[in-house]
Amino acid sequence: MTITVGAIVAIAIVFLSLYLKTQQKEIAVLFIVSGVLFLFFVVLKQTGEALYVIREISQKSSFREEIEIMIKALGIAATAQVTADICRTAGENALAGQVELIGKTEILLLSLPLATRLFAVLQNFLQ
Amino acid sequence: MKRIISLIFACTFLTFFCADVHAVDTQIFSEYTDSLETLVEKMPSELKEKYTGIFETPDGVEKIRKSISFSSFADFLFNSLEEAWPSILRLFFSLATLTLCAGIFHNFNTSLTSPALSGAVSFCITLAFVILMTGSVDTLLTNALLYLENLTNFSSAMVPITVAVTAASGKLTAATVSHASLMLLFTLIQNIGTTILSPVVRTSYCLGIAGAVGGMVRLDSVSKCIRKVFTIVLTFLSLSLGFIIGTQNILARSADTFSLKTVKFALGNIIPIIGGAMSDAVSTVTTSFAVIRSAAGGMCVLAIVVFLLPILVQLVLHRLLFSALKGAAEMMGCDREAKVMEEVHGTIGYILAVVSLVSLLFLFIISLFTLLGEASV
Repeated sequence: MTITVGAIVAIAIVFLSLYLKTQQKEIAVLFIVSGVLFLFFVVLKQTGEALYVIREISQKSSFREEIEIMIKALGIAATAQVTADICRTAGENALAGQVELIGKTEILLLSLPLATRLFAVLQNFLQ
Repeated sequence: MKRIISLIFACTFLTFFCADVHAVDTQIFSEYTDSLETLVEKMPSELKEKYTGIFETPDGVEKIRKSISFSSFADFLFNSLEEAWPSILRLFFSLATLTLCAGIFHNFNTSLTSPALSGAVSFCITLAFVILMTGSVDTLLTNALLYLENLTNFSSAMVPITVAVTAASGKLTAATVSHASLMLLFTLIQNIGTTILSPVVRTSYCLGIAGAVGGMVRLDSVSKCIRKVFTIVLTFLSLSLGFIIGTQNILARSADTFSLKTVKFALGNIIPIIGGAMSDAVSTVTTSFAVIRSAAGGMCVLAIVVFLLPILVQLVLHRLLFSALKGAAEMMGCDREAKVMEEVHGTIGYILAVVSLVSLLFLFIISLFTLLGEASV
């Protein structure tokens, strides 16, 4: 049902924004942004259930920390992607680029404990 | 005067009848019990229990002969499989779950249109993979080095008994050659772990991982090249060594057989009356030592097989595991993870090659030592 709802909402927003662009361009952009955010939260809700299952599986394994980091990285990437797309839709490419850079930096900082652990493991291995 | 000279001559002649001729002691191991017990001490624990004190029994040789059979080999193989199987299964399920999670995350990742963001997420996922893989490789390398250490200790216990028994049976040339071969093998095994196995595995693995994680620089081909070169060099060295040692031993055996036959002939023809008995006694003595040699050789072969089986089973099962997981990772579109698995697969293959080469060379030399006992005199 989610794909049907999403498709109907997206198509409705497209039609309305096409009409509003001829009347008031700014309102059209706001409308599109609202639609994107709405669909993003619907996706988050659905994905949350899948991620909950993955987290449950990882709790019983030896790589729980790694899975947590991967889930957070995906979340940061998705948020940064949506924000950058909204900025591009509003015509602000520079802002979009900066948001992507922030997201990339955030993910790399998040993977820093993994990198440190890998260096320690490789150091032990080489000795 | 003539009587005195005749008396002196008769006394000198009579001294030949005072030669000490006796039958061979039935306890043929008695003089070598200490050395053989030292050899048993260095054996794996499963064989230590079986062979401790076996040389003090009169039917020790028969017991050793019965213990070397296909059923005992099969028992050791199944025991090794039974010990390795649970840890392999646990590792398989952990890595399969991680591969599945990585596949799911990669599928989410492909929906990101920004290459920067998807690259960062891929990097994060690959890092997690590499940490878990390195643990497995480290464990296998440690076990392989431990195996080589056990072989070194065992070969150091083998050298005195093989040389002593071979020399005592009159095969002096063969004893010298045997000592030289075993010392060369001992030096080879002692150094192969520290100079060939460990540095090559660590270097090639780190290069391969750097290439897989970095993604931009293809270092995995360099690591494959390093492993291939060292495998070819080792194979060539082992073949040359085996050929040289084999030829030396065969020539030494021929020389000793000729010497012993000469001694037998001299004894039989020069010494009157008891010369024939002495000549037969020489044959009996050499045959007795051949029995010791065969028994010790058979025990050593079994000991090496028991040392080898656990590490061999581990390496083969791990190799199959990573081959299967590599296929699964490729199916799910995790290219970087598949590269990491391929690197681990290649590294395990190299460790397997080195362990197999060393073991085959060792078995070859022990077989040579055992076959020397079959020289007919």
